[in-house]
Amino acid sequence: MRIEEISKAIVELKSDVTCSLVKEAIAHGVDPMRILGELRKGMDEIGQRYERRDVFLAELIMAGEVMKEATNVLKPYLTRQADRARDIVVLGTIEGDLHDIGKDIVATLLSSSGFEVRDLGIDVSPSRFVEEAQETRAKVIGISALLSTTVPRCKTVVEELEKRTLRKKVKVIVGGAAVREEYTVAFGVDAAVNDAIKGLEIIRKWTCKP
Amino acid sequence: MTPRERVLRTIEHQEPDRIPLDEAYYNFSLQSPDARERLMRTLKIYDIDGVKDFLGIDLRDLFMMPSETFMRQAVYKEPPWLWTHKLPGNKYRDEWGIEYEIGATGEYFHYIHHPLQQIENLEEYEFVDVNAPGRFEKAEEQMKKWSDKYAICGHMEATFFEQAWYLRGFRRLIRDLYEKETFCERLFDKLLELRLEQGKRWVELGVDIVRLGDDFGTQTGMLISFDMWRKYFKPRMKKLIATLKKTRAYVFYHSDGHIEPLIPELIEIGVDILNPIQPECNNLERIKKEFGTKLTLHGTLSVQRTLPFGSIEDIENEVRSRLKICGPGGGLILAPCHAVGPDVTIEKLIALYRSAQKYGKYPLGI
Repeated sequence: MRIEEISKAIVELKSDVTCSLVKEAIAHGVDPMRILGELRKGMDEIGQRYERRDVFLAELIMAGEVMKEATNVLKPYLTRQADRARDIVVLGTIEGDLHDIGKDIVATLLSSSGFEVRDLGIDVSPSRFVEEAQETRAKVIGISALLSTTVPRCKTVVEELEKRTLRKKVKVIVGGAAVREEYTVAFGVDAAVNDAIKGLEIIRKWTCKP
Repeated sequence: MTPRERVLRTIEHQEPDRIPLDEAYYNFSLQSPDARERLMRTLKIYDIDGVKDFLGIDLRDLFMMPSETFMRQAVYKEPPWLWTHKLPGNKYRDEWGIEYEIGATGEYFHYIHHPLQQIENLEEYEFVDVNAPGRFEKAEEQMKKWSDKYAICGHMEATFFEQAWYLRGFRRLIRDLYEKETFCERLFDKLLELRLEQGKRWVELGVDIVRLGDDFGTQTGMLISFDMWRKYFKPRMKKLIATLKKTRAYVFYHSDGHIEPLIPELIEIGVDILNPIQPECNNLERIKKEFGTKLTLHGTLSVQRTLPFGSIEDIENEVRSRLKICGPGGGLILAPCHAVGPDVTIEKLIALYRSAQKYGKYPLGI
């Protein structure tokens, strides 16, 4: 087999093929990190196509599903060392808001880019975000907020970080369909985006991940 | 001119006496007072029809209720699709078997169980029976009360795609669209069967408008590909619309987000009214210019920006701008694009409807 077929299978959204190829590569003794790299390459390609509007949101979601399944196949073969160096991102949908589609897409994109994601789910209180970031020494808090009523609550997360003198250590990004860049000033966050791929790029820059 | 005449005239692309107005969707709030209750308190008009008349709302909505049997133990009277059975904790189950949980602030709910998430053979699931006793009695009464004066809408939104993912789970259904074609075809056929029956009841009742819809738009693009929409949804929507249009009913189609590229095909299959045409996601001027003689635009007022974050002056300016761009020649029904959240003051809502009534008189002098 050619290792490049793995990324191709993800781009073609074929979960069975991707998982079979991963198993085959493992059986052939290919370095699991190299296999993971191929999977990430496939996700990156889909992400770029989504950014260019060549594919639709459903394709991005589907690729994420394939990625998750293939990663589960690979997981037992990945060494702990590979995990240890990963930057942690605390992610969740802000209190009062129960939308999770966008958040889940971001979680998948971050995981497939090598981040360790602490997904706190939906309806997450500002203090819960900060507690998790403090506990895990996360570098980034990602807040998902879709509703006009809930976006302003991001400010409370920033205030909570300040209270605990963690503000300088943790970057805060808010994302959601109706989120606008000017929210960075209004709510004191470091970035505000309305697109998952843009969000991923910003977090990559902050953590110097290529 | 009655509100009904006003609405029908605009759908026929003639200018009525003034721009017809509609309300927003119900607030999805379950526990906190929704915008309508706040309006009643502020205006001191303790009858919702009176509030609607004050605001100049020209349409009235009918809903299919759950069956009589289900209703015996149900809680929550409004909105009708949220009649549910109470489960332990803050959880509820509707007639389809879909379960919900209310969030910490009590303003919104989320799904916690989808009845088809573990089912591969649809024979194992009992779909709701449209002809069960209790479904249309309330609608019949309301029809008698309202139909002489107002334009009447029979609701059938979440027509295929949304109802399917409520039943199956969102990510699961997205996956199925790619991997389980036969399952999807069967599920959508079952829903088509159900909607055809439901539509038959609406047209027998004599509604003016049947409201269909599925959210296919995201903020910047389509959720699924055009090919996928054409494969699974367009043919079924076309069949449903063709059946509805054997009578005099107009067809209303709702999809949030950016669905501008779908418009020509929606017109082709018989859609008369498009809602909500979110101004943040679509180019209203272009849509009016290209499709304004074939399509009535419904909604158009921003609930993502202007209503929650703008001033009263901003709201009045937005109303005037819509009248100017979309009002000429009829084909415009103004309404907020979606549920009005608790962050929108009642003063702003009243200003919206007042300015629409004030400036919306034909001939438009904007």
